[in-house]
Amino acid sequence: MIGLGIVPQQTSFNLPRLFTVILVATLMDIASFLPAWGELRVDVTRGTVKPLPIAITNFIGQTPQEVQLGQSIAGVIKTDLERSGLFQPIDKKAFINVESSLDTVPRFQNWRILNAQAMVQGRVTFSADNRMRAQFRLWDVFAQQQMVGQVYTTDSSNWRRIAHIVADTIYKRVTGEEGYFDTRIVYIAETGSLIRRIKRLAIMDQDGENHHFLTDGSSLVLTPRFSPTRQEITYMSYHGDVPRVYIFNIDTGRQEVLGDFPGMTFAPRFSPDGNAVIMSMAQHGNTEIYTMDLRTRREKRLTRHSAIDTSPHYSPNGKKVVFNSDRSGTQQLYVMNADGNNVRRISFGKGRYATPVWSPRGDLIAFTKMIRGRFFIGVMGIDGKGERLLAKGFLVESPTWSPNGRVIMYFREIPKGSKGGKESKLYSIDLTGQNEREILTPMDASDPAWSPLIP
Amino acid sequence: MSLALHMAVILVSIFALPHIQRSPAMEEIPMVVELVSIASETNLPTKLETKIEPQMNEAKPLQPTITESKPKSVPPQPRPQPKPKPEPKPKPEPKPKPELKPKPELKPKLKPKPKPKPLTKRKVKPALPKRLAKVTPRRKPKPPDPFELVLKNLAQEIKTTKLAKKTEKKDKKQVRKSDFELKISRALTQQHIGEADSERITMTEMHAMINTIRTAIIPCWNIQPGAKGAQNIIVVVRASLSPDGRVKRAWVANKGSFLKDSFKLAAAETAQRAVLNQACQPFKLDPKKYDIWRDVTLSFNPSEMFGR
Repeated sequence: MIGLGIVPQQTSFNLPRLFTVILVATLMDIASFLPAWGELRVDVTRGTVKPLPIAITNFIGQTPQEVQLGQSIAGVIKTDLERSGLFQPIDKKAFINVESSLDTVPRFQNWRILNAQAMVQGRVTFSADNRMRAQFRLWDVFAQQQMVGQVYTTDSSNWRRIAHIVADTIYKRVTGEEGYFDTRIVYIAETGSLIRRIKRLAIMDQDGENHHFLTDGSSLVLTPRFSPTRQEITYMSYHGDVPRVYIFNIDTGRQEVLGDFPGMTFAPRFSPDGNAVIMSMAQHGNTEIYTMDLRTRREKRLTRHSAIDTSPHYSPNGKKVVFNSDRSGTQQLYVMNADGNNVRRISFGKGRYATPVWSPRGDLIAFTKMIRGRFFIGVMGIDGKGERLLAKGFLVESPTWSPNGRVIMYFREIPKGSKGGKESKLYSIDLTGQNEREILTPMDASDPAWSPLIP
Repeated sequence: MSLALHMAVILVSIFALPHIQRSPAMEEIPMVVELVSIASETNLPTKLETKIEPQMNEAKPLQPTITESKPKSVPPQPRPQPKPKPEPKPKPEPKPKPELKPKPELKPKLKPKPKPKPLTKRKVKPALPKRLAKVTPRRKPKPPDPFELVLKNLAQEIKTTKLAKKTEKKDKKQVRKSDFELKISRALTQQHIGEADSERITMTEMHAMINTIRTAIIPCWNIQPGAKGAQNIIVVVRASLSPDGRVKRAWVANKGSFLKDSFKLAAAETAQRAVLNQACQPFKLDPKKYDIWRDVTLSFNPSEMFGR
């Protein structure tokens, strides 16, 4: 309760005016809250986290070939979106009446009954030169509006990639983030016994399709990483029993050793512009971080410390480098400028931290953490704050980000049998810690690296 | 904003209201104004008692908002249009002139009122706070801002008050409030003749209504916690409801600011889908209060889900 006494004075001219002004101002105070009463306003501060129900119809076609391909494309789109964990494709058996034309507005009530919040329809046609024309529309069922529609024309052999691109387009339009379905994974395919383990460089689409090997297994290979153009891969190989960093060109199949360093080089990664490789070199018992300019072939030493400095990774803008070092006594994460200055520690939790990877978004760093004999995959802010552990296991290691910074892939080793055997598989997990899924590979797999999106 | 408003009022009072500068009356007119801040759970009296001038009948209903809502999250919004378009652009207009026009109509009404009693030291009756608390929603386009009216007539009121001489008290039962007091009362109560009893609502009922809608919407608001900056995106959705409690139309009020940012656009559409999702409807609201919940503004802010 606010009390205000107003007593005009007889002798003063200014005071009444002053009081009047005060009164008016006070009344304005009252008035200031009145607009807030002018409407029924509901603040919603909580929601749910569940996949978006989406209806994906088979792409229609005229000929049996078009119909068959339309079904295949819809199937790939459905699988992509479903695996993301953000979409829940509705079973086609529940569809009431699928539109037979792409040129008419759908009967939204038929999809609303299914609680489909989005609906995808498309069409496939072949031209005389066997080129494929695929077009699709994404509809917002509740708002009864088209959200996006596109047409692609390409060789029919690229139908899988077209399906991934359509899935990326839908993903981006619904979530606001870039998709990651039109990407590839390079990893180490492992076969053979523990004693005579064969490790080969392998590459596949992010959904496990189009799998093939890049190396024959004659040399042990580790830690493959994509270049920004995703046409090259840098990795470490024990070719000739000397561990060195190599670069492999996917188009030509040609591989070359990166520089003639006196010591062992390992843990390579490309710079964001693709013009340099940052890596570790061990010499005389000391491991430091170096960069090599791929144009001038000049190397530059970034760290100078008696401790082991390794696993460097550039920030997306190339101005910072995160790495791990045991200079504090235990293995921890550090960030420094790209020229090696301004080194500062960012991890202070219990346990050891390794294999840091800067998010493509730039706001997080993924890492492997070891504590009390357990391994974890986690993320933290670039200042080390807000650590969250996403996955754990007997051995989980080597995180790699999807190009949109939303998903992390890693490998998991699981003990197998009583003779010290093990199996190794790839997994992916959403940044939220949800939707952990195995990435199917033909054999044991480790050291995955996610490619950028194809420009 | 408030400071600027106060300054504007002060300047207007000083320079635009010449009567203020007139010589004060000789009488002492002590006056105590008690302003009652309304608690969120106040039970409002339901009985109407004051008649409203014709121009007030044209006012749109004031739909009480949630008292606990943060002022910051309440963007200045234009008066609801009779037929809201799908994507209205929020254009907070300072105070449309039409609101001031009713003044001539108000005066005749006010003049016949009994002159203020000699205000030797008049205290507002206890009933006044109750009346102040009686804020009943109404529905008419462009309601004349009561405080505009009050302010415009304030000088005259003061003048009248000053000129009023001390007179003996008549029958206490017949003591009537001054025009000024009455106007304040009317301004705050915002009643008008045409309202039915069903349009009146207590704060408790209002909270229940809001909770009903909020509780129904939550399961249908599918947010994406992994999206970058998701915790900072606030989406305002305006909705028109049918008498059966279902949403007829819903549109993002501030969509224009989201179009260039795919993250924000997606978040805005998610909120819109939550409101349009028939699976979470109809809202179980009292049909008799339809005029209260016919138009709803929903502010979606996932901050609570991020522990903020």
